[in-house]
Amino acid sequence: MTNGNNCPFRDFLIALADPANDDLRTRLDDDPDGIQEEFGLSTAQIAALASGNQKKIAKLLKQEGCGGTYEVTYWGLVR
Amino acid sequence: MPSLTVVGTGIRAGLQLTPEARHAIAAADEVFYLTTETLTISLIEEINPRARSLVGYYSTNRPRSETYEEMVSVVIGALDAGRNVCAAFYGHPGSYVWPAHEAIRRAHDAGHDATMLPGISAEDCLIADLGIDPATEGWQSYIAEDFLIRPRRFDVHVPLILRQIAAIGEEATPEAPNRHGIQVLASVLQEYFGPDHPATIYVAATYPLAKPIIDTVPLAELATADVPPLATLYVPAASPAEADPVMERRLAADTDSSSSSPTTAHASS
Repeated sequence: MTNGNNCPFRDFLIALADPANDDLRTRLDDDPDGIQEEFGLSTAQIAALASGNQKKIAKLLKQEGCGGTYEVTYWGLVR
Repeated sequence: MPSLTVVGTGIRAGLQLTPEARHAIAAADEVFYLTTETLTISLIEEINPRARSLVGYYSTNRPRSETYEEMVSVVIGALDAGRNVCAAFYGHPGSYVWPAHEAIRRAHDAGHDATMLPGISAEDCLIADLGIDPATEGWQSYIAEDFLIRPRRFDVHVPLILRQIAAIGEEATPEAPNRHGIQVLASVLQEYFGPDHPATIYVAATYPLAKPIIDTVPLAELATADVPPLATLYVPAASPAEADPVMERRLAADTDSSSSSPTTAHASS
């Protein structure tokens, strides 16, 4: 599942959002380094997920710049 | 025969999308969605590549009423063109979502089949995250602005939930929380509950693994507190409601005598 594009954090969150991938949560707890390498995530991204801090996750998602044609505003993404 | 199915996406991306909502999105000829969350957008477009966003109708300088009207027109237009349409809204489509209800109403008026499927709302998440059971003390919920401009009789012995506290006094989509509106709200609530009464600024978790934002402050500090855009305010009851002994006796009596019981506090209020 190595990520070949420039949106590894978004894509990993999308994978987590699929109930069929519930094992990813367990693997993230058991082997965060392995998940980081497999999905091409940064240390900061792994740390944000581990903390569960919604603001940090949102900030890193925004920094990754994978909103497509959406503009990030106070209310969220606006196309 | 064309039909409209209105569904909710839930709050936490993907994980709160119900199986029946997912099926409705997948099966539709046309899908319109209203969510500003990038993960949910990606998931909807993955389920049905024909999905189109309604978010583009928002503008910071445009009255929201105009925006909502246009959203409804687009959905009904596709229905009138003979398509099977699914409209997906953030959270529960029937909870604080005027365009969803209006689209259903207009579809019915035009003789189309139209159904709303329930979703998981921000209030559902609040109940779970704050550990509140409405059965214990009741539940009263308003849009914050509506709560202020229509001074209904509310009960300080019942938890008060105020939605959209960042958008009080805003006709258009604001670029930042309306501080003046929050100050007015804080002032009004202090008149009823006092300055030391706690209030919780709450935002449900949007992302997988994320925790909700839960920030409890005294009402005296609400005006200067950090208010995220989708924040809901939870104000716990000032104190539990007292039981009505007249009603308790009435309920304890047998059927014949209760039917002729005197007026109770409930009946006279």
